[in-house]
Amino acid sequence: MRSKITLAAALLGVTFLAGACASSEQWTDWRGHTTHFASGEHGMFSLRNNLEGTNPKVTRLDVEASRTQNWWGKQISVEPGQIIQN
Amino acid sequence: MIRRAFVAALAALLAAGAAASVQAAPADYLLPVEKHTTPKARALAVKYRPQLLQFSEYVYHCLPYVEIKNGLGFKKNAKDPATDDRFASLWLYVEQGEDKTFAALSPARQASAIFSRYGVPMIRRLSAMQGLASDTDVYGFSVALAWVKPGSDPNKPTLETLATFMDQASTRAYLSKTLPASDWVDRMKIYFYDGEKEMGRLPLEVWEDNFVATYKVPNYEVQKGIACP
Repeated sequence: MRSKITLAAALLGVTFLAGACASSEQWTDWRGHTTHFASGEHGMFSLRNNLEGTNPKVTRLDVEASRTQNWWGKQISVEPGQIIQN
Repeated sequence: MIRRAFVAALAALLAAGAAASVQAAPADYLLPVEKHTTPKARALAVKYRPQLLQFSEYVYHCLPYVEIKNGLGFKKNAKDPATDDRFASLWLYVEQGEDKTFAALSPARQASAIFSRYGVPMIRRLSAMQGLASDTDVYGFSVALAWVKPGSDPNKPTLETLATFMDQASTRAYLSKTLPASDWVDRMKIYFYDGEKEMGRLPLEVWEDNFVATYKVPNYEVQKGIACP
């Protein structure tokens, strides 16, 4: 009986440690990765690349136009006046 | 014949005008002088307009993955209405793609990641505005950073917002590496919002992140005549 409990506790410990390591590894990976989440990886750029082929250029006006087209409308967000006053 | 040409020219002019009005220019991201509510703030807005414009041009042209919101200017902490302490204030929306690793982080670590990546370099650039260091009317810096909460409804996204207020002296000490990041953070006022809901102060961590200085958007062509230092 005691050996079963010991085994269960050991398995639980290993599982916990494995989970902790994975999360720590992911965290290190995210911190070290410098191109993870900018919109450079985002739809508007990759779409143009895929559709238009070789070496398309994206200008600031393209970014602006894309933002206007893809704008979500109402977002759920804090009102600026709750944070800053002019 | 002349009338037809005139109508065509007028239509072209109107179309060009409509297109131009849709596109925002760097100056549009500045809070207009008259919208600052006190004489001190208005004076600062006038005095530093060239520097603010230069800052806005940098963000507009060189960092197309972020966008200034709610007017760049000299603002005060809404939670501290008794004073007229003015902060050089930036509100930045960070546009980012879905990222599972980022989504798995706790709100505090997400906020720390965003602040380290975008907040610190923006504060460094704000602090470099000529004249600001010796200006006793500028109490400090304020940076609000907003991003889409991972996993929120794509049709009506929830934004997470981290707002920070910091005094000039400790900020400059941190930037010149004479004050540890933890001490700098301790002296900040920090507010975190999940959508509209205030979540209070987060245990913010700050670390080195050279993303803004090194990342180039693939195929992005900076407008001719613009330098991105």
